Amino acid sequence: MEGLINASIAVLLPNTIFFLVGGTVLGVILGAIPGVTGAMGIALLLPMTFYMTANNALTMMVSMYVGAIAGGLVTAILLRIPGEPSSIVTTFDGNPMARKGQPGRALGYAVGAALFGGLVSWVALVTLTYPLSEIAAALRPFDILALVLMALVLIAALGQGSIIKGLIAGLLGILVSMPGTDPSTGALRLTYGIHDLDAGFSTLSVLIGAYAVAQVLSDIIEVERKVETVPTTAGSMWITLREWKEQRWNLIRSSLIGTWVGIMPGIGATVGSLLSYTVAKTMSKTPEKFGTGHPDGIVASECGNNSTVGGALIPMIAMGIPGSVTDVFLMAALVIHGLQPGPTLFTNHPEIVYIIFAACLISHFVLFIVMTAGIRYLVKLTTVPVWYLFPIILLFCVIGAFAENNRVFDVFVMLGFAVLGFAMEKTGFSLGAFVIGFVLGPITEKSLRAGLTLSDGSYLDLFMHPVSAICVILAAAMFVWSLASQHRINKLARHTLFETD
Amino acid sequence: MRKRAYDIGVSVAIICAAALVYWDALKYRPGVYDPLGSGTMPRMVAVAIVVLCLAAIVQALLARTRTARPATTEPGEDFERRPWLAFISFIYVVGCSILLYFRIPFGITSSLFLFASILAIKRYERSIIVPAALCSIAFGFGLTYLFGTVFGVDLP
Repeated sequence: MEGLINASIAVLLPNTIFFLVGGTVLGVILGAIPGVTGAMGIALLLPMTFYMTANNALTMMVSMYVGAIAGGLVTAILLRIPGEPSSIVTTFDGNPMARKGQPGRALGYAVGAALFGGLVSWVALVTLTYPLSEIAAALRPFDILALVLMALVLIAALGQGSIIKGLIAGLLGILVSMPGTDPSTGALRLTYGIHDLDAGFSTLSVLIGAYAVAQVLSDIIEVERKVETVPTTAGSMWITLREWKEQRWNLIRSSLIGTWVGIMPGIGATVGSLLSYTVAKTMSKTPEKFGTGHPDGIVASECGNNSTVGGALIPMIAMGIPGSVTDVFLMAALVIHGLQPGPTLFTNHPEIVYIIFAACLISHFVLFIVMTAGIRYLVKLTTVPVWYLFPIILLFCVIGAFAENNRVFDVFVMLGFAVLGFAMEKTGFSLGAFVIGFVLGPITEKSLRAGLTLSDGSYLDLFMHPVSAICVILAAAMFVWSLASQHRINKLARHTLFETD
Repeated sequence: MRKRAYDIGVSVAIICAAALVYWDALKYRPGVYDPLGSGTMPRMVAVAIVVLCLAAIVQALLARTRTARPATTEPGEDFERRPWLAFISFIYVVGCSILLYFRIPFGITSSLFLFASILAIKRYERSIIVPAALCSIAFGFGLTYLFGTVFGVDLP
């Protein structure tokens, strides 16, 4: 508790609060602009954090994360275009309510639900991270390997496209992490004689290329898309206490669902939002009203969405496994500042963990104030001309890739992974799985080698201990279930095709 | 049919890349104190990728899909998609990187890139030339100052 109080005071100091408020505002802006995501913003911000202290860098990135997840609701409600992929579900009821002449009410429900969900997940973050890190510290190498495999299968199963393509993407990510110097033997491998590859592919180049540049290129294809906005004012966002009381069970349920989904490695806010909405609709006495501008739908989606933030930070801090794709960039920031995410972060750098906790809490309140007071200005963001925004973002990407090592080779690596990321998006391979595979590649190999050393070369040891055995069985079950679901969907599609033909 | 051919083509390309990695990893022999060696993990991952790609090919062969719609517009959309614009923008980024490689001052490189990209997005309209030029110079030299002087990045 004392650590948390000290960290909160540190975050509220003039120079750090500047980064917190700036990060939140920037996150909301990036989240609100269609085509620009928070993950992209954090990726572009990473090079700038080289020159900041670890406290300021993490404060800014965590607050940007919080802002971006919530920022997507603005365009989701007013334009039916989600600013963030996780705000897709908010369009189901948010935009219909706005078109009925109640845009302020829709925004009010969404912003309030975002605050509640964020605070509930923050409580889970503070209470569960330390016990989980203690458990993670006691895990054997094969347990960690099994957890990573389960995370990859989970991401592949719940991501876009088929599970087989998702797994291929994850394994490609692991493969891409291997060129360079083998950490165990010090030998060079898979460098093909290119000396610039001796240290492997630069993390920033891969992440910026595969995620940011590829996304911008996809958005440039739709640059002619026209948007029409629904006007609103901040005063009309007020929701009465009685109306909030009617939403109390929905708020609590959606927060818990979102937090739990956030904790599951690699899944992210979109699933949290969708699951909360689906459960709210199933348990509602008036499910037919969902999709027509029902407040329950808006509250469930935004609450589930924002509560994944705190939840996703838990496995990242406690185990070094990212809870979502955005957490991959937060992990990269920790590594850039010489900090290793995982169970040892609590023992070696507890002040950093408390800074993350404090930044996450305070940024939620800053977010509420910014969104409530600044909604009329945020609405104007939807009319930002993208014809100059996209080239500037591309320029940021070039600078970002160059800045890490001052090498043009990294810029070319970024371009190569931009092509790969673009191709993967268009062919149904999960980019999230690829990026997470890339980040988890080193820990996967390290765990495999250490596990085989301890078990004298026996792979059976993976099934001999409860944690690894359960993870492997869960991964296999998830794989089979996903294949079976896909087969059922394909069969239904073939049957429908047959009938229409 | 087209989607099926596309999926099979992509899977075959990935198999070829994985096979290349597997073949390269064969030359890394395990050491005395490290029974696995540097090559085992890349080989394992490459084999797993090949197996999954073969499964993806089988899946593509067994699936039935409609032919793909034209790329420029989708039903219900009132805007034109511009896939060539993404290609042109990418070429401009490559050009910017090549200029960076030859240590052309970054203010000039970035301004040229921004100007060319903005014009391409706005279909080279004459009315946009002056605003694009002003915007490009402002952001090009502005970002060079921000990153070069304030953040200390060693830009040319």
